Amino acid sequence: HGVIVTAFIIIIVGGIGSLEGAVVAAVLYAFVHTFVTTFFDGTVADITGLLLMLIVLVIKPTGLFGTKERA
Amino acid sequence: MPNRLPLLLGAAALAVALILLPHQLSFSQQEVLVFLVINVLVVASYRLLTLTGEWSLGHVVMVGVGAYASALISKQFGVWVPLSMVLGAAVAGVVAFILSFPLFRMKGFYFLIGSFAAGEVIRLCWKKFRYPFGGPKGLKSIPGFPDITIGETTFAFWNAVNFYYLALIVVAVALVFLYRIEKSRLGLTFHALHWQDKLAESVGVNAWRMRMTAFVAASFFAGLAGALQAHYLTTINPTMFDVEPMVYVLIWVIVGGTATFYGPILGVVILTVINEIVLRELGVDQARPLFLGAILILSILFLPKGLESLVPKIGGLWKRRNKDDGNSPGGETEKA
Repeated sequence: HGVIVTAFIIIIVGGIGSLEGAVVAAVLYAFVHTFVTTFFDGTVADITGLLLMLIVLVIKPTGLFGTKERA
Repeated sequence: MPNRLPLLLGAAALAVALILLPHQLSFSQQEVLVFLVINVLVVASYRLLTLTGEWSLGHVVMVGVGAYASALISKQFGVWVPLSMVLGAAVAGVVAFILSFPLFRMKGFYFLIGSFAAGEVIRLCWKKFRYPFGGPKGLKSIPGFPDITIGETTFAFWNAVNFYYLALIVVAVALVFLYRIEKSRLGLTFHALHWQDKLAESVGVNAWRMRMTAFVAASFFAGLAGALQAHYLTTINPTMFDVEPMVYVLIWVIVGGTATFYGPILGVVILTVINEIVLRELGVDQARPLFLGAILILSILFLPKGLESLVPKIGGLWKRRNKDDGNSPGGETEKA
């Protein structure tokens, strides 16, 4: 993955327009990605990151810290 | 009812031109022509989805689903290639059906992102699983389209010119289907969902189901395009279906315009000619994406409705010059 995709996932997971959300999502994403890379492999880690974003989009489209009117 | 004769004559002239075209081109240009015809189907099916107002970033992955499915079905199970192409397209439709459950909970920008994520997941699965998808190197030695013998002559489809005719027939039939869908009641409902989705829902249109139908139909035809590509190249890999070709599809569609059926087709034809023939003749091979980006920016700035918006203007000019009677100054305006 390019950096842009990683940044995108973090913004979506954290919630668009939310600074604290981006920080938390960055830590979360980096942890998950490194964890999966260590125990499985890089491609699976990318899949996991994208699935994380997809799940957040389906369950809570505003992201973890997003405000309601953005939905 | 206007006179149908000029239209028929124009269609006949176009058919003759398309049949004679490959014999006027160099070998590499014939290859480009085959991919151009396949890409026409890709953008035309993409337009079916944009009719509902949703823009997907996973369309090229749907092309890939069709390509992989058709390749695997014909290679692993020895299914007759024309049949496996249809089956591959059907698999793309089924995948789209499954994806529409999570994806159409979102709208607009979120659908764009969601379709990108879902497409990337599918693509990375091809990259990850060596069996049956072949891993990063993809699938090799996919059976080609079987030779057709009519009387004495045999048409072999590894030949670019013969495959061009095959692709032309398949794409023409698919375009007729897409056009019929668009002009039917279903297509009008898609339009209604695009412009007034709350109103359409209030009169009893099931928005989710309509979007799902559009997505499945668009993916079916995209899968058909992918199957054509797989059996022509006889090799496919995950990199062929990543974000970059998707960006090209978006550029074609945006420059061409999406308000009319011919808009995206105009976009893909003109941009491919500029990209592959004009810019190569100029000798700027490495800088071609630069020029394409410049064309995209310029067309958004000066031609926001796409190349298709020029067609009625040219038609209007033509009419005024022929008939100078002053009424209908803009020609026949398209209702967007």
